[in-house]
Amino acid sequence: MVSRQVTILNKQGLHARPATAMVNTAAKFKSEIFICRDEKKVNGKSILGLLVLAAECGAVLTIEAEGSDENEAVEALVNLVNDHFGMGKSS
Amino acid sequence: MAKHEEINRISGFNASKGIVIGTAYVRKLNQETVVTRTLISTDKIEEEMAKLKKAQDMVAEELALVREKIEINLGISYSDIISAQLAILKDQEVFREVRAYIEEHHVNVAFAYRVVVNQYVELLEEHDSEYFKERVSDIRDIKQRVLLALISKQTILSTFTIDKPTIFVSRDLNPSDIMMLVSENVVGFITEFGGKTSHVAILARAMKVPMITGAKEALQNIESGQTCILDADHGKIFVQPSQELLDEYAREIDKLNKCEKAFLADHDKKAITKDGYTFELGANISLPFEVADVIKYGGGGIGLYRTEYLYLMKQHLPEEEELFNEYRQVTEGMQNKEVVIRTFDLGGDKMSDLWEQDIRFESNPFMGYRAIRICLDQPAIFITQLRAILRSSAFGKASILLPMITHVEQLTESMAYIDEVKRTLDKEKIPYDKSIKLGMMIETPSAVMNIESFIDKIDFISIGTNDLTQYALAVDRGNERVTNVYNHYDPAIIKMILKVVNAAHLEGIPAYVCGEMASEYRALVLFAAMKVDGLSVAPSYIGAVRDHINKCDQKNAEQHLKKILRMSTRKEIVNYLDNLIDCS
Repeated sequence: MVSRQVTILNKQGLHARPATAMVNTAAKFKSEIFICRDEKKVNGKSILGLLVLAAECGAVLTIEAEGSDENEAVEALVNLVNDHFGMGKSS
Repeated sequence: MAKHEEINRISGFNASKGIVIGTAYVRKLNQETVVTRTLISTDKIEEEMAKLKKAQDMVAEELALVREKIEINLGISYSDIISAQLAILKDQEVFREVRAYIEEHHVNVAFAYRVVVNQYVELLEEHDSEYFKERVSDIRDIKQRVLLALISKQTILSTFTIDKPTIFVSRDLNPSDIMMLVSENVVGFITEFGGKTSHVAILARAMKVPMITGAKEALQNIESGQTCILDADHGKIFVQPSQELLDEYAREIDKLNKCEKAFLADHDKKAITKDGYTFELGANISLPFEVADVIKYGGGGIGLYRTEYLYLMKQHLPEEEELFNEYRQVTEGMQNKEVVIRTFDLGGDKMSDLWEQDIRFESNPFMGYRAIRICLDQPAIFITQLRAILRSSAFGKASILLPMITHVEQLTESMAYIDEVKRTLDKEKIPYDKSIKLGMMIETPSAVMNIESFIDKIDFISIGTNDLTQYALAVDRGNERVTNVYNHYDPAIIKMILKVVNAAHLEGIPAYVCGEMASEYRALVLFAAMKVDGLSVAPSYIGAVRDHINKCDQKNAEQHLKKILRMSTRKEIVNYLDNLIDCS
């Protein structure tokens, strides 16, 4: 299993659009993916799960992946978060 | 009017003008598809899950259709919101949990689905953040669609076969509802919630569909199938009206249609007074597809292109390309006629979901984080807009209009950003109109009093009478208790307008009026007397305003203004102006 911590940088937090981007990225991988915040742990391929985390700007999340492409999956998701979900730095 | 009509009358706000008669279709508040709980045997699980899969596919197809319709009809990219809805629809965790629930409780799939989704709704509703709470409505919407597909094997659209003109009544509406329904023979909208300036109202106006918002108890008092008269012009709805009233309204609608036809036929007539004074008569628009209307009604240009819309509709900050594509459609579509593009006027009553909630819920939003103040505070957002406007200027004739300027520093700072953007575009060899004009909105008393310090730096001014009245009279026009204070025929307002128009003319730059007042017949005398250079009104008002101008005499107007300037009360002024109209 691979796991990495990330901080949400978007001003508006992990709302519908970034959550959609995250789910779509996660779905590309075979590995099981979980996103954790404090005690909550949700399926990284579920938008409803991600929304329930209510991760605002500055929230620290742990991305976990387990499976044949776990390294690539975590790498891709970390990059997505750090890149403001491709929505531009001002978002 | 018969007593009967008084009883069956509902009032609301005119969110989009017009009068229609139609059959009501009422979408009831929290109307849930009835889900019965039935027990199923374990060997039926796969069958149940297949039903869910099929229902999801039906809804996905429907959403794709909505997206396509919107994009084709309106040329708006709406994929963002639909993508999020599709992701909710196809959530694999929900699918897994539904299966687990059926395995444990041996119940039918519709029941299990409802339980699972409701758990998420409850979790989201617990959040403090308004933003996440608002997403609940998206999830409920998807749930309703899936349940409907599961139980009655129908989609929302297919349950809604409209063969006659329909007035759609609901608690509230989202933009996709409006766009979808308008292409389905819906001729009017009534909602219990929502303001005059909400993005749904902007859309309804742009599509020229009458709409009344804030019609309290509409859901209780209207039933599907009842005949209704929706008179948005007067903010009135008549339910099951008498034949007498129906006839009266049918005649009124007929009259309006004839006027409309005449205006369309006159589209190439000049906006010139009897004695030869010509106004530039332009249009206020919010969406690119309105260009077709502007041309149809013979608008001389776009006097005000409001760009807030994109920010209100999107769930993300629009990127330069998105803005550029929208603006270019307008500059290109207007074929070298002037297009005045105003940088966004967000804030006040038009707050985007994009800002953090401490900004979205300010205690005094009209005095708060609004328009140019946001732009100068977040230059990246401002620069994106300026680049898009400048780039679009290469495809037609664009100019830049800055809203809510209160002091000179804001103007000079904005101009520095414009210069910076021009230099970058030069470096990148991206074409733009190097002689692009810059104007500012006059909508605050400070801009009026200090007008001389602004006008030597700009190419034109545009007077926003709605905000100017609001700020000068210190009255919130959305507040029902003080609406009587709001009146743009107040002597103070007329003197302010005169002051800035005179100052502009002394400097040799044109002065335009783009507020609601620009489309009022009784105000025309004032503007003619002041020799206002241009008026900008909603596209569908162009014909009527041109007609007013054709009937007006500029020299006479000057005499009237002299008298009006000696009056000290608004009542005297309004009476005087009304009297003039009666005489003509």
